[in-house]
Amino acid sequence: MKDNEILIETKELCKSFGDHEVLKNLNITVSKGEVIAIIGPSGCGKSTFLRSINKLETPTGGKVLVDGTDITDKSVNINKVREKIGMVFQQFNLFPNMTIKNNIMLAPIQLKKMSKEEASNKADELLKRIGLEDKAQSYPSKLSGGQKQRVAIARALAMNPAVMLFDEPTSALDPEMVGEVLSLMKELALDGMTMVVVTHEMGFAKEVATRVLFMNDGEIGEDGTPTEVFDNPKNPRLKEFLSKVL
Amino acid sequence: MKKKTIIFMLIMSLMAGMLVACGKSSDDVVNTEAGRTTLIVGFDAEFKPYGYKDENGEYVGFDLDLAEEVCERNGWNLVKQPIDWASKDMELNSNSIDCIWNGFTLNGRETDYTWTDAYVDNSQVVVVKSNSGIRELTDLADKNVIVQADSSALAALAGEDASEDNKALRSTFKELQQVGDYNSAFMNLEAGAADAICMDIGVAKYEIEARGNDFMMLPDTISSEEYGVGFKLGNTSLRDAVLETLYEMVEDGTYAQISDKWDLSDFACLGNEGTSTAKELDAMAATTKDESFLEKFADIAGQLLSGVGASLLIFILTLCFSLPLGLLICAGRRSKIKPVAWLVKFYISIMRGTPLMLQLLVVFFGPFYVFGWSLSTSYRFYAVIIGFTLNYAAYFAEIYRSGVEAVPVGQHEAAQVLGYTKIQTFWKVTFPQMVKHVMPPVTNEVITLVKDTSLAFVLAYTEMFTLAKQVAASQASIMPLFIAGLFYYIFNYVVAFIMERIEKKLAYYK
Repeated sequence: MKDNEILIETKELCKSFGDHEVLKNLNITVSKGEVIAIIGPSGCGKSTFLRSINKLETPTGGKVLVDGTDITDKSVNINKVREKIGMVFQQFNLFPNMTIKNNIMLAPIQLKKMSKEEASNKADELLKRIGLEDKAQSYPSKLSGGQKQRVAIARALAMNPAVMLFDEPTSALDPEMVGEVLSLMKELALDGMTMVVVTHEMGFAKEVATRVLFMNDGEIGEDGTPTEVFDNPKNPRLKEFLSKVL
Repeated sequence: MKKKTIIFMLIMSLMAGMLVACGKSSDDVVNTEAGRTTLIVGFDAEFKPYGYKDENGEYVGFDLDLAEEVCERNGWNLVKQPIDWASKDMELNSNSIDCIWNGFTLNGRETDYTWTDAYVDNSQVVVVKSNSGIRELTDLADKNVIVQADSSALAALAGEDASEDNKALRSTFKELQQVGDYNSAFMNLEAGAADAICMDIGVAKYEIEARGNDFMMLPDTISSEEYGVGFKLGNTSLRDAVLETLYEMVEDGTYAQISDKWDLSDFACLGNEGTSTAKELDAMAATTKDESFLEKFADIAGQLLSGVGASLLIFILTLCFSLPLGLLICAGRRSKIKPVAWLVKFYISIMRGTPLMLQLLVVFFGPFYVFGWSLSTSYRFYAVIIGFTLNYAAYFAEIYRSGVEAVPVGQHEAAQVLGYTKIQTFWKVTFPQMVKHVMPPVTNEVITLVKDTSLAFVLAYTEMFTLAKQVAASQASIMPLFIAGLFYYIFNYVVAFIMERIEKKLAYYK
């Protein structure tokens, strides 16, 4: 595994909603094996940045290269690119009309990435990994928030993505369920998964991330190792932010 | 489930009780005319020249002039009450009107009402387009002939008391269709959906005069019949008072004068020899024997059953076409191509903003009046299905739209990031969730559709309710309408039960 292989690269990425500039000329690279935590105050553009990477938001300027492919190019089949990027949402977004197992195995079958049998085996394996084998035939409404989020992570993993995006994955959870989700994410990180995590969990950022980005007002306020960012912040806005959240 | 069965039984027995009550004719007739201040005359406001609305919006006509004069002489106030012809018995039995005075044929109805003497001797004639080539009754073989529902023409051709000659004539027709009023009869004739109309001579003369030379009467008449003023069975005191005044008018020449005014002198027959008199008619009424309630019920239910199939067919075909079409319209309504979305929005607003009855008429007559295409008889049924489908699809589309929009945006995003195409997302994620959301409002619409099938009568398509109205009119009883109600109720009970089962099936997830 080459540590310096670049998976995602944004060049002069801009995004505005009307007159409101949310992202301002962002140049960010994500290399294979990196676990990047993005922190920052509400409304600073963290989620918009994450959603621009798989074109849930269409950038208004600049380029987004995923594994060398520019997804802002309209001729690119975005669905093909999205297969490489797993995403986990704050609100889980499991499909309530499908069983847990179908939630996990349907996409690989639909997109003809796997045979039915392969997908089924993969789903069983993932359910075992997240400790929910007994819930395979249940519907999402029967699960707790923490369990739902673990299933959502498994669903993303079923596509064998090259990179995983997490958009505040623990923000909608009751406090006692945050731990189970974070520990699953930590396991993933230790297995070498490339991850970009928008989070308010500073403990997780400090302990698990290999790199921390502080975003402020649509720009990168600081970019460094957890030690640099948390123990020796230089940006005054970061100092202010940390004084509030730590 | 058990509780529901009990409620169902209760309602059924309640309705049966009402039917029994309706079966008996109530005898609460006012027996003295001394305190009377008004006379409420029921009439069909489209029956020229006997009673109709003129250019000034006034109700006028031969019968109304006679009634006016009778009232004046008795010191009563005349109330002109336009009625739906099919509900005339209910109007009379509930005392909402005092009499039916409107070119009311007494032949075949002798025992159903208390009659005055016959005052008009009328015949049934056949009206055709002048350029049709039909010149005598034998030319009507293999033609579509139209009559007003529950009219004397219908009774003369196909009624229980029809003469053998008339029955033989009727059997040569391709089809004998019924419409609600003479205006639609003429629309059908003009549009080519019918070849001839059989109707009262007085009306025919008047209509042809008003509509010009495009139409003509065949010289041969079909049958002779008489008009009388009909009162609720047993209400002889009011009848006697009115009849007495009418004879006064014959004496002093007012009757002849009014007949002249309406060009009906040839037909006015009050007091003539050989015409039916109140005395004879009363005697006939006294000799009728009562049918038992159950016999009557079974007889009527049997007659209505043949219409149930037609209603069911409209219902099923409309659902088969409008449910999927609604999905397509919903997609158009949500389309990102603006002109498509606007067009569909306009379509929906028309469908929801105008009466279904009018839409049915437009679908049926539109091709003739807009493009000049002549209409085939089979188009009648297609027009019913097309009209219902277009209307219901618009409602379903809006219901679907609410269902689609109730699916959280996160569901689409989750499907998107998993690489689902738009079509995969729709069928695997959006559609199943939408179906669950829309079940209660769709059930509402489906139940409404069961009842709306009765609107097919405007296109002279004989479904169950039209049949019930016809049977009610021919038997002078409202029981058929209640039995029809019972059928609708049972039908809807089954529909609601099935929909509830589907909803339960969909309850496997939240």
